[in-house]
Amino acid sequence: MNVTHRRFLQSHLLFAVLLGIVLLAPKARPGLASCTALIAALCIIEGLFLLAAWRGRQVGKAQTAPFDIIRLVWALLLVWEVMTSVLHRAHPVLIPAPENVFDTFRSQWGTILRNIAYSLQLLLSGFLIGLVLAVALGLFAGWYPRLRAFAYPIANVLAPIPPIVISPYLVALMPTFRSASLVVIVLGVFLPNFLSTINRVVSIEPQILDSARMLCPTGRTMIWNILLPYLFPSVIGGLRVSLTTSLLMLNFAELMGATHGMGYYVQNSIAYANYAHAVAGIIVIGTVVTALGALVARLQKQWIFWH
Amino acid sequence: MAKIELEHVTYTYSGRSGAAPALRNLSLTVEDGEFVCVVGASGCGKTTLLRLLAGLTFPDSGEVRIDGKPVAGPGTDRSIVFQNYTLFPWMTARRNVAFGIRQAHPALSRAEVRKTADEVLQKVGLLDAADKYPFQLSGGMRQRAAIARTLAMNTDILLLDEPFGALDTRIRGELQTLLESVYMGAGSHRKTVVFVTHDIHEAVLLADRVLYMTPGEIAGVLPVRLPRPRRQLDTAGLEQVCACRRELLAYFHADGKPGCVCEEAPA
Repeated sequence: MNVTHRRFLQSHLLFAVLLGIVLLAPKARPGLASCTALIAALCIIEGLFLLAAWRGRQVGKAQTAPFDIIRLVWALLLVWEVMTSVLHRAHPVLIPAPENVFDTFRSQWGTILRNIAYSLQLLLSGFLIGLVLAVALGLFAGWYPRLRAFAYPIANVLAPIPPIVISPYLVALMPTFRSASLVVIVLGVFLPNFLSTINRVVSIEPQILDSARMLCPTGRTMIWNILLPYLFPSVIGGLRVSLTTSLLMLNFAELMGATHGMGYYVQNSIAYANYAHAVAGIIVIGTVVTALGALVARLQKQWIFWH
Repeated sequence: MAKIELEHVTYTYSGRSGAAPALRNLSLTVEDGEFVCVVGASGCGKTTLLRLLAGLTFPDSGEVRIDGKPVAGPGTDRSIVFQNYTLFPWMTARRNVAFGIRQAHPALSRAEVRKTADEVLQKVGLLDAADKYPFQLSGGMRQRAAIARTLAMNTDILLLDEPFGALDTRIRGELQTLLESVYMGAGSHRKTVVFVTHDIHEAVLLADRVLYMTPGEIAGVLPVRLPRPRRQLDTAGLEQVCACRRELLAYFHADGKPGCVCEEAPA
């Protein structure tokens, strides 16, 4: 029996033990939700693991990561389940049982989806506005020396101030909470991207620039046909970081007094001591972030093939 | 009539390691329709000369004039092939060529641009690879695409900086022939070409006049009076060609230092 087989067997053994405990072990904790959602979640995780392991085999490399990760996940879930539901040794309110956490997805899916939609809408619009403004203005400021000499120092002073710091003031300043969080995200995405766009334009490869100057009689063709496509890969390359930053801004903003959104959902659940909902909300946020990251990585691969 | 005039041009290259004079009080006239080759050791200011003509840099003192007017910047009356092929990596070979054509001749229709681009790509032997991106092409193919882009622009003045350096002998010969035919043009009007090379044979093969540069200045001028069109194979053994090559080699040896002469000086 080789190493891969042993790893495979170990992880499935853990999975079987976990399933057995969830389904069969006598539960000591009162107020447990039905375990259907938890079982479904476990099966989804197992499916994802099998998919990752299968993909690793397709690539042909001996992968250890999926096996290591899945064993850790099963072990943690096992400890969690045993300490809460079976032995009832954890804090009954602060540490909800996995049954209750995963049951939240079943009972609250409408609310959760609505909040995700609300957060994503805010996130994406703020993100897009910030990015488009940053690239457009950064391009001009990078290309025209006088504009650059004027704008760069100003942006340089403003950029290091975390928008999170000014967000409470913005919430007070703006008419609605929604507009305040939009401004926070736009600012958080705009300033760093504006600076880096200027830097990228200034440090454009001299050879490309010379060819372009020989070929482009007008500033307009220069910007549209040369500078924009030249910048494109680095903008897409910075997308992931920008997205993470804006998500941070958003969640922070939502913690401060929103009435919708995932950050609000978590905050609100904690306020009502509904920790099962809070943990479920955190899991949702993590999943959404991961999905967005994967999407961006995919776009990067597809769009900047020439690099 | 003088197409290109340089009058007492001085240009100092200021890098991180301090200022180094690249051209010293250099004067030069290139006639309309003349093919001038510039040879000389690496770092003697050949590329600087081309960049001044292109309008990418400006002299510290003196004046560069084209058609009697001082050069104020790059213009689409001139086109250039750089030493390191500079295609735009986000465009296919065809789109690179077409982009050059469109910039030089905005009045042309889309179909005409495409037709011209395909013709030139065909001539440089790249039509099959027209839809490939630069990263999918070999170094030699990229260089040919860059040459195609420049030739396709069909400008009055052609500036070339070691354009055939990376190519094998056969393709080099084909492109030399192509360049000469583009230079001679369809009608009676010839283009004006300034061609920098390390290859003495190439210089003799192509030029009406070969300039030999030592750092900062033009140290020798050699007229080449051979009938056109000239072909790599036809001219290879001619007594007149050999004489010219000998004379050029003598320039390279004039300073008496051994080992500084080769047809392919290190870049």
